[in-house]
Amino acid sequence: MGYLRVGIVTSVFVLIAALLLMAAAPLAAQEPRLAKRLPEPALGQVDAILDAARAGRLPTEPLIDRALEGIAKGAPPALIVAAVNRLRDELTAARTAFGEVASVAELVAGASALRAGARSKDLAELRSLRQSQSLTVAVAVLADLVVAGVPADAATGAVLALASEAADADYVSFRRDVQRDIAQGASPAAALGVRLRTALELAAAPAGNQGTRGGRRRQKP
Amino acid sequence: MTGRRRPALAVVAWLIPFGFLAGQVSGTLNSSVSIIEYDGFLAAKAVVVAPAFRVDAERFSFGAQGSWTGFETGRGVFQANAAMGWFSKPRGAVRLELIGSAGVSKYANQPSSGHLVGGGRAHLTGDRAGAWVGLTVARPFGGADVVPVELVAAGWTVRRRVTLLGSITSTWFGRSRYLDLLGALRWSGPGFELEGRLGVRPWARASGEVGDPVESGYGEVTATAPLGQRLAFTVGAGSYPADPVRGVLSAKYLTAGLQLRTRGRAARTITSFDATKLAGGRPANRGAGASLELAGVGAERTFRVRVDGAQAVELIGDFTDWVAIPMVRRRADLWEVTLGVTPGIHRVNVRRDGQRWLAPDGIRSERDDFGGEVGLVVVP
Repeated sequence: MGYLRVGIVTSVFVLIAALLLMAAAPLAAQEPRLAKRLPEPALGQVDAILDAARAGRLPTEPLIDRALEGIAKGAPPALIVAAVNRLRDELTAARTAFGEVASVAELVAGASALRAGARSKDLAELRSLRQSQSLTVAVAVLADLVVAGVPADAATGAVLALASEAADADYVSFRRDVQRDIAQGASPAAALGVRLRTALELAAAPAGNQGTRGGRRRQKP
Repeated sequence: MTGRRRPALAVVAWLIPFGFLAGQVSGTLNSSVSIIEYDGFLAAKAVVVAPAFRVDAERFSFGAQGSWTGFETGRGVFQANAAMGWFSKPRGAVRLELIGSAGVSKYANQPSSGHLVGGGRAHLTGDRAGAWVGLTVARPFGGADVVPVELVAAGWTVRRRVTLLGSITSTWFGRSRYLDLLGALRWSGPGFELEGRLGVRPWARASGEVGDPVESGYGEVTATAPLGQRLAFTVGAGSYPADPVRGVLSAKYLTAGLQLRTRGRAARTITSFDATKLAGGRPANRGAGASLELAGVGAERTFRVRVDGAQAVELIGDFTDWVAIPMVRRRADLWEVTLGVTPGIHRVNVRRDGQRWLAPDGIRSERDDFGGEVGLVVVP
């Protein structure tokens, strides 16, 4: 009788455990976009990274995107796992700089900027100067300038100098003008200096002295 | 001792604010072994050590280069040059430039000679091409008592990895006159850089003494291959013409050596070809041979790719879930596709005719962690 009771209790526990495992399985990742395209054990490793990201309140969509990119490019599974892991680390660093309120787009831009050579403390300062505006474009432009050859300090200084006045379109115009000057023969530092001064002069000019076309400020002839 | 140090400290003190403010100081140290045959001399083996540095500030550049050439005979040549350039603010496509340079040289126990050169250029620049005209006046020292004048017209274009330059220079040097036609090419490959120059002096009126300009043709090729982040191997060969304005004898040479550089690009001497050299230093096109533009506002954006000679062009990115999207041909070299894209920074690749996915030109790119590159497009 005692053996029978123990057997019933054991069976009930096993059943409950099985039900719990079945219910928990969908929560333990198995991202459907990856499930049939990434072989084991890489799939399980990426799932584990996604789980860790969720636990750390990081967005998982950029991580899934990175895995999909690797799959689309025919990369070996081990490289895909390493790439997803690296991006998770970069997103973590970006969130440390931007704070908990950072959007997914800001985190992705921040991760890219850090990879390009921007410093975490500069991203944090940018956050403090643009608390109510999106940082995505400003940070992306910062990364573009660094990659274009502008010294990281100078690029950061320029982006911070424009932070309180510039709209996203102004940042895009500024970046385009600097890159054009570089392509035309100016040194990156010189191009940045000239364009920054022009941008700051425009920002300081009375509204009546500014025209707009296509979202870009123009100077009077 | 203290008296010797004072000038050096003064120079350093003068340079520190330049470097500090500009944040763009580059330097190189070239060391090489060469075989050189100067006009009027026999060929000789030589060791060359040439440090150079360059400071770029807002609209202002300053560069200096020194070289010591020790010949197998035990004699040597010391040369030092400094040059500066100042750009005006751009007025549309036009920029003005003031240039100046000075140099000294001393060979064995001969008296020193030197020169001062000053002048200006007017640049007309576009996205991928430009032209300039310039006039310079010189004052040589330790040689002929003349005031040489150079008139230059030049044009350049940057296409993908290649920068091309053509120039015509007319020089008045006392009673001498000569004309130079020069074509230069610079190719920046994935691992190394190649520069070539081909010139001809089709007409010259001179007295025929050593160092005088004579009708001739000349050409040079230099290749640079990196051995690490700050070390490169260079090899070059060719000939160059006499430049009596700057006290340069014509010569043929063969050289191989090492270049040690500071972070960033190598310091280049500020010369008459600087504008195109710098333009070519960061080619507008890098990988796919296809440049990407983004048009439109709102939730849907039009991606435009310009590429020559493609039969099919596809685009892939995070906004397509990394599924290839065929682009529609609008003109012979223009392909388009309109897609929903959210504001932010997006990763994108293009490929032509089913080939490898590449980062498009015209936008930033980075290593993609998978052995290739990916473009990064910013959607405001």
